[in-house]
Amino acid sequence: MPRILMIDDSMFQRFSLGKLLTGLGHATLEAADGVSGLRLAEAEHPDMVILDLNMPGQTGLETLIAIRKLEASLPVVILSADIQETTKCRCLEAGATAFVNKPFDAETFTDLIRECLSGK
Amino acid sequence: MMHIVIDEETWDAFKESCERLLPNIESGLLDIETSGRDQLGDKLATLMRLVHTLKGDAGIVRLKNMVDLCHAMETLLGIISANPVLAKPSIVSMLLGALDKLKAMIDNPQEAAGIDIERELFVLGLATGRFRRDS
Repeated sequence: MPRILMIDDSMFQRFSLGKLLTGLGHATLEAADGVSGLRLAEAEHPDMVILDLNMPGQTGLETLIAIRKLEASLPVVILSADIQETTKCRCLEAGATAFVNKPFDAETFTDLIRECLSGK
Repeated sequence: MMHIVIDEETWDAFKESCERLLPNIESGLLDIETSGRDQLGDKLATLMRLVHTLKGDAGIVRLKNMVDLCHAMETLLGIISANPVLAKPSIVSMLLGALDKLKAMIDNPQEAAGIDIERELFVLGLATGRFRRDS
């Protein structure tokens, strides 16, 4: 069963996303900030990461850069309410697999997860 | 657009999350009135992040009026951040008025979509427009 790591400071975002992911048959891991998320990514080797940007302490972008140093091919999807095109570009340049705005369309997001996990 | 199903468990989780966020937003608002200039930037950044999180949570349960009110609060907080002299009781009381509406929504989230926020949006919008021109 593929394991997906959710890194988001919002307890409710983790809950609702976790519900969607478990409904799709995936196992989930969760962290409320970038530092503990990075630690989990290092220790647990998830199949995919879903990462928020606006978090206390280490930002999502900094976390993404740190994850990329650990795992070059791990799919990392940014899930953020930030709609600025510059933010999206910065994340994609830093190695994000995809950038999705909140609130997201569940069907499109499900397709994206399937694509990220294909072959796992 | 296909949405996440919002069942009773989801509403409970939403309410629990809001009940954690709101006291921190309230104490943050009261705090900025008395903060020294050197701490104000960090405190406003934290406050904006909390309001932004609440806005994101409200988006999941499709509470448009809560999203709109949070957005108006975030915008005014951004203006205070650019112009710290605005961190004064008369401005903070506008934000506290909006917070009261958010509290009323969270007291009964399943009825929250019907709560009128026109007055609060008007007040926050006026302040935002006026101080954006001044800053």
